[in-house]
Order: sequence, then structure tokens, then C-alpha cells
Amino acid sequence: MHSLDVTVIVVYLLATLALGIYLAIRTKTAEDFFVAGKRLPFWAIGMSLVVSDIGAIEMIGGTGGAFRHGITQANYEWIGCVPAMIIGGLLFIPLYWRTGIYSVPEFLGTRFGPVVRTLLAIVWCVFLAALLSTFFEASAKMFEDVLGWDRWVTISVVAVLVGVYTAGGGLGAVVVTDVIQCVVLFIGGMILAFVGLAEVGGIDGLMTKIDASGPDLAHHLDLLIPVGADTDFPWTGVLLGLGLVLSPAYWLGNQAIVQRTLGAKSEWDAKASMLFGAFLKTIVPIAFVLPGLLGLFLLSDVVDPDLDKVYPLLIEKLLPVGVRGILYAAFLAALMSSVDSYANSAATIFTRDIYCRFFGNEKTNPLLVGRVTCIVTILLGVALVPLVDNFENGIFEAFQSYLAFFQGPTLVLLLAGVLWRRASAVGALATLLGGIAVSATLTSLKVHFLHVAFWSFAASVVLMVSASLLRPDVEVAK
Amino acid sequence: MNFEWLAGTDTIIGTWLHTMVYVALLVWVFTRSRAEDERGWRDLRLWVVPLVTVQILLYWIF
Repeated sequence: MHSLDVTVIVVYLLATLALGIYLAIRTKTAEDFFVAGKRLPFWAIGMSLVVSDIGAIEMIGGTGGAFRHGITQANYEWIGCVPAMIIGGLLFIPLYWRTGIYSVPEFLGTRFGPVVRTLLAIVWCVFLAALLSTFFEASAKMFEDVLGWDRWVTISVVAVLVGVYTAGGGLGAVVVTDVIQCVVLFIGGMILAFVGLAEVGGIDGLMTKIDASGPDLAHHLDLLIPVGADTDFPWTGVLLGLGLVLSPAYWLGNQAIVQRTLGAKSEWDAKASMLFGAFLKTIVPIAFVLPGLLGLFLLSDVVDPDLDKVYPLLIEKLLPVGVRGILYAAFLAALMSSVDSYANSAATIFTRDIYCRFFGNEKTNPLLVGRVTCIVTILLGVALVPLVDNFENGIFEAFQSYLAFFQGPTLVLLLAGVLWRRASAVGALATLLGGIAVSATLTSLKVHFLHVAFWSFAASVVLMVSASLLRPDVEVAK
Repeated sequence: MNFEWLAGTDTIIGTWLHTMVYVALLVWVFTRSRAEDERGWRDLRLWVVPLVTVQILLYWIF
């Protein structure tokens, strides 16, 4: 790597670290740590939401996905985000904000009781650590393949850097650093996309090349692909699994998402943050799906490249020294914003929903517990990295498969909790346990992960309705 | 379980379903009551219109 690129990366990392430490020093209370003292404006939350969601997974996995499957990969940003963000912003987020809760399990606990709250908290903590492992794996791929860095050295550096400012500064540090990371990420992504477009003769040139490529790329310009085609994204999975279940569950019930909006300075800011984020999501595919399509022609000399290497290879091929450094910094920005978000969320859930309830007393310092949990979660994420290698189709599939496992039941809990008065605590418990069991069974039967999400959601609806009617809550029964 | 029985059907069904979801969303947004502080550019209903329009167009174009 050229010294100029190294300088760009080092300057970026040091600046982020310095800002994080400065914010950590200003963090005095548990409210500062968990909800940033409720001082955040809508635009900062919106940018933070988007950059945390894009993450390293989108840069590496999303671009690889577009390379193999085409523009249908953009569904993850469009049908997979926009409708749920509108509904979340206008219906669910105001509800969370008004109740003054800190976590999704806490919200569901007020509706369905302490057992559901505890179970959901445990499930989320485990899965947040698993999701962190996918982010660390992405960092290892990027720097191992392109720069020749040892994967465990890379993972350790990222873990230490993020651990310092997240455990120190909490949500405030997460959001402020995310705003900077969002700017770097978009600038970096757009540079790559536009340089690549110029190489293939613009949009028209790209579309002509794809059209002329024959049956192999027959669906590369289709957002919705027929069932039965050779694809991982049949339209039924996209609309029913992604649009109906995974996306709403993620944007309405993912602690890492919800927690930012809880730090808004007003209810209007909380609502507007989601809609502002949806605007940004609309243009994300230009930066992270388009390069995958460009790679089809710009990497034609590479024989059957690993999908997770498409983005790094494009950087190496297209960009001059110095600009590459910006892209690597953008990648680190994406990675760090995801890791800090999930670590902070795990800390919030463990501290509020588990530790303080079962082990806490008047001497418990939630700020300290949160900071320690942050560090432990990051270490767990590092320890789980080898599991990601079990997924044949790369990091993106690993990430989505982890989410598909329990998003169906979680969504049913949220919808029933808010919209159906007769939903009972027993119904919620049956939904949570039964829904996860259905996901596990279908996954073992090799059902596509988008369809797993849909069927576990459907099963969870049946469980919730039947168990709630058979065993209503005492007040409702009276 | 993987909807094999739909193999061969035209994806236009999916495009129409997608459009109907967004139209329903738009109707819901404009029938909900506004909060006191949602006036002028802060009226969040006005933010939703371009979002939904662009999404519908994208799925008909591609």
C-alpha cells in the first residue's frame, strides 16, 4: 500500500478516536451513555441510522451480491427499508419515544410481562454478538485480501478502536462519529461508482453491455426475478420475506435502530429521522450496488472472483493512490459505525433488561455496567468470527440468515403488542419460543432464508392468536 | 415452502403488489392526524410523497 493511502487511513482513524475520546469525557450519566442525553437532531440520527445499516456488510457483501445477482440486490435498500421506515417513523417510533423506554425488550416487557422481556433480552444479546462477528469477518476479508494484513491483527485493531470510543462515549459518541462516517462513506462510494461508470461508457454503456451478455445476465437488470429462475432473490422472497417481515422487524424492532431515535431531542425529530434516513436509503444503491454491476465488465479478467472480494478489487483497479486511502477509510467508517451501534445496543439491553433487574441494587452503577458490557460484547463478536465461514454465499448471507432466525416472531410481538389489545403474555411467550423453533427447523431443511422469515412470521401469527385466545391475560378475561 | 408452485408466473404480479402497498401507505399517511408542530416543511406527510413516488417508479422501470 502506498504511503499516501496509509496516511489517509491513519489520519482518519486518529481523528475518529480523538473525537470519540472527547465525547467519552463529556459522558457523565447513564442517560448520556444510553440515549445521548436526549439531545440529538433528526439529521444526525438519520445519517447514523443509514450508515449503521449500510455498514461493511453492504460495501463488501452488497456489492458482491449485485455482481452475482444484479440490481435485485437494491431491494435491500428500497422495499427492504423505505416502507418500514415510513411506518416506523410515523407510528412506532413516536410510541417508543413517548413511553421513555431505553430498549425494545423493555417496551415489550411493559406489554407482555417480565418473562418475555428477559427472554427477548437474552435472544438479542446473543444475536447482536453473532452479528458483530459478521462485521469483523468483513474487515478481515477487506484487509487480508487487498493489503495482506493478518486477519486477526485487523480484527483486533478494529475491536480495540471501536471499543475505546463506544465503551467511553456511549450513544452520543456513536451518533457523532456516525455522521462523519456517513459523509466519508457516501463520498467514497460515489467516487468509485462514477469512476467505474466512466470506464464502461456511462449508464447507457453499462446497460448495453448487460443486455448483450446473453442468458447469464438475463435478470441482472430486473428488480423482481421470477420464482424458479437461478437466483437467491425470487420475487416472492423479496416481497414476502424481506418486505413483509425482515424489513419491518429490523426497522421497528432492532435495538440498534430504535435506540438512536430514543435519543432525539423531540418527538418530531424522532419521527423525521426515520424519513430523512429513507431519503438517504433511496440513493444508497448508486454507491454500493452499481459498483457490483460495473465489476462484471471491469473485472472480466478475474476468473470467478470471490463475491466478497469484488469491492476491494474494484478499488485496486479503478482508483489512483490517495483516493484509495479515502475508500479504505470509508470502509473502516462503515465497519466501525456498525460495530459501535451493535455493541452499544447490546450494552443497553444487558444493563437495563438483565443486570439491573436481577443483580442490581442501590449501589449499581449502570454507566459502568454498560461500558463493561460493551467491551465483553465486542470480545464475543471476535470469538464468533469462525462461524461466519460456514456460509457458502459470503458475509451478506450470514448476516441476513442470523436476522431471519428471529425477526418473524419479534415482528409479531411488536405488531400484536401495539395493535391488538387481546394479545396475552402467554401468547407472546408461545410466539417467541415457537417462532424461533420454526425458524430453526426450516433452516435445517434448507429453506431459503427469506422464506424462513416469512414462514416463521406466519407461524408466529397463528401461535399468537391461538395462544392469546386460549389463555388471555387476567384483566382481559375478566 | 419455497413457493415453487409460482414458478413461471410473471413478475408483473409482484410489481402490482409492490405498487399497491405503497398506495395504501400513502392513503394511510394522509388520513392520519398531524401533530401540532407539523406545519410547513415540518409536515412529514410532504416528505412521504416523493419517497413513495420514486419507489413506485423504480419498480416499474426495472
